Amino acid sequence: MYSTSQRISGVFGLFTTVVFALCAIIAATSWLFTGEAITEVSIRNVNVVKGRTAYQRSDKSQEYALLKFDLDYDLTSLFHWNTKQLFVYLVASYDTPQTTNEVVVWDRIIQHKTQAKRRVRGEKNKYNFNDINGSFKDVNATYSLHWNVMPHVGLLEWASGAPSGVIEFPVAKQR
Amino acid sequence: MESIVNTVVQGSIDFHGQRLADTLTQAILIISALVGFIVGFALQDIRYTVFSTLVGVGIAVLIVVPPWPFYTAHPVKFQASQKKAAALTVEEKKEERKGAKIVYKS
Repeated sequence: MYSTSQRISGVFGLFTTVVFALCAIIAATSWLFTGEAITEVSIRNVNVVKGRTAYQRSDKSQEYALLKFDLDYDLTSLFHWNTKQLFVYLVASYDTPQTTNEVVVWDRIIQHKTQAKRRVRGEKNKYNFNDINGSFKDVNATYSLHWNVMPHVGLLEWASGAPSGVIEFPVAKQR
Repeated sequence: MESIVNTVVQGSIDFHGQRLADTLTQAILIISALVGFIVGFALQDIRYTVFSTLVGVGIAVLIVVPPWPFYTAHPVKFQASQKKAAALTVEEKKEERKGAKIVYKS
């Protein structure tokens, strides 16, 4: 502390330590605030159409699922002082002979408590929904809403709500 | 003008001042972080915490970094030069130990 530069260095060093300790305490106490989230998924309609892939080296015939769904969610209890934003996404989960598949078909970012209670009606899937086998024959899926709480400081929290019932894929229609 | 720039850039302060500066940085930074945490926790808004901590750093820099006069209020009292002490006779040294003041001839 004997010179100006020493004092600048000392103040800055203590500042970084204090900020680090503050972030650690905030992160450690965040779990006190999280509450129950309520979600409901209902699929209105599933259409399966035949198309062709637009990959660089392949234009094989492929079945695409087109969804229409409603969502009811109330995620306001997940917003506390350490919540930066919520990442909410709809996952279609189905089994094929090879493996269990989970596909994200729709997502949304929620940045404020006022945006966290919504009734979504007649939404379509944002992303292509297709299976590597090329077909949804003899497959049925359940749909559930997942969310990821992104804090300002601390660990990410991943959770999901109740799944919808099992919904079959109809036979593919030619476009 | 040059001596003012020199004083500020060098920023030498005495030992009492250094201890004071150290104590002040700790007090200001920790209290501003604590107050920010409590207010943010109570109002559930992290912006208060961030703002309070940053204001605390600003205040700490303003109070501690420049060499204010109250940091140089206890300058170190140095002894007289050794050359002059060597020139004293034995009697004069005895008298000085008793507490009499001796006028030094340079």
